[in-house]
Amino acid sequence: MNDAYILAGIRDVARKHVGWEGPIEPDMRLVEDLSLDSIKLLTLAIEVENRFQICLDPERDHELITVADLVAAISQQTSAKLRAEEGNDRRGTEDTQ
Amino acid sequence: MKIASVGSALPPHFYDQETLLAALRTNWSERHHNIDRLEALHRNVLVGGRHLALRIEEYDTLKTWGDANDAWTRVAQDVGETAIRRALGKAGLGFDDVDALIFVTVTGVATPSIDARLMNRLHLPPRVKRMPIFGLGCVAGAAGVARAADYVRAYPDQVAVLLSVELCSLTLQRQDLSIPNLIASGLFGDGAAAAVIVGAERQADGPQIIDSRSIFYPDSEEVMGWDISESGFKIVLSAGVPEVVKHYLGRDVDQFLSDHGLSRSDIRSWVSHPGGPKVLTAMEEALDLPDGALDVTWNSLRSVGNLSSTSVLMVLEDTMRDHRPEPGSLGLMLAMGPGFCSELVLLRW
Repeated sequence: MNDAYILAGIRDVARKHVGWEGPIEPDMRLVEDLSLDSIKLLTLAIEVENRFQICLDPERDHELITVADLVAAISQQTSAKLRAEEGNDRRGTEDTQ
Repeated sequence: MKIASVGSALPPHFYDQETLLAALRTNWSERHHNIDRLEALHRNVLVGGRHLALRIEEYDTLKTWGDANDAWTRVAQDVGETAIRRALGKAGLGFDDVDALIFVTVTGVATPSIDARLMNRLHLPPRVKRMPIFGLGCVAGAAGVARAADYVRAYPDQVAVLLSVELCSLTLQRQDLSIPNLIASGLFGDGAAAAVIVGAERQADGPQIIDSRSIFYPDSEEVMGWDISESGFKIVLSAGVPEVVKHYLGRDVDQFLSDHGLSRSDIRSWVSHPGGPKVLTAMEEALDLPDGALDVTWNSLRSVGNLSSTSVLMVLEDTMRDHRPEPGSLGLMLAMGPGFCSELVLLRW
């Protein structure tokens, strides 16, 4: 899953769930530039989790300053999830052999 | 003018937060991936449990807004009747003593209004002037006391009863899995409270109402409220409430007190609507309150949740019963609600 695909997903979530109609670029700040208050930030986090079927670490939400930070966090989690799924598949194949 | 007494009534069905969480979890998992985050959100409101108008399994039978509102009309009368009986009993007054009945709510609609139905149930005198008020939301407990005081200022030999009934659980949109609704489903509970306010020519034991102040914040309609949908009340909740508290409350309290030649340090007791943890923390900071100043309010939030307009009256009841300030000392009752607005009531104990 590349960053452009993730960014497109964030744009779609922001439009549908937090009512953001303007542009979204990686260097934009979530609070200052996208005008997200704490409830909207939470909504954005939960809705990207739903879209990408991942769990971001709520303890690290405060580290998400820019859109690029969010893209990186999603990318990290989707990669980790993929590795875990591949590991499970491999174990499953070995079990059946 | 005095607040002679406060009586409250909670529905009998109490559930701790974990039980309520378990009931909501299945619903959430239909749409949300990270259920742990939602559960943490529920725990962060610091509510230990809530009284509900119905048994938990009965909520599944509410298919329409009409079903929910029918339940609201029925339970509102039950808890409203009990609250009024308790308040009048504590004040040593009978039903015949009541001259005015103010009814506040934001969680259901009925015509004839609940106050009219209680006229029949309680056999209140036909001359009673009824004032049902819908829509003030959380501010209505303090605003209701202030309006009752305005009434008995005009009729100093009379008795006004303020009744607040809020059955927030019957507004919950279970199919609405938006974050504001998930927060609301963890925070708000059900209850009723009545306050008896008497004019200056009446004897009473409670705090004297010295003055009140309404403050409206222009162009802040989006901070909190309801959108009305086919399925009922859909919550509008922004993160703006703590911000409004931080920006305006200190200024407004100071202005109100200074008109009486007072400052915050003259206030010995604070009777506040709980809002939620962030609102209370913002209030403590904005008013630079001493440690423990809002303990009764925090305890109310923890033990029964936010009961909208009923909460501040229950905090007042607890204060009058278990934490009665020194006679002659000054207190401030305060609440905020949709509009957005504040109501301040200056008390002398």
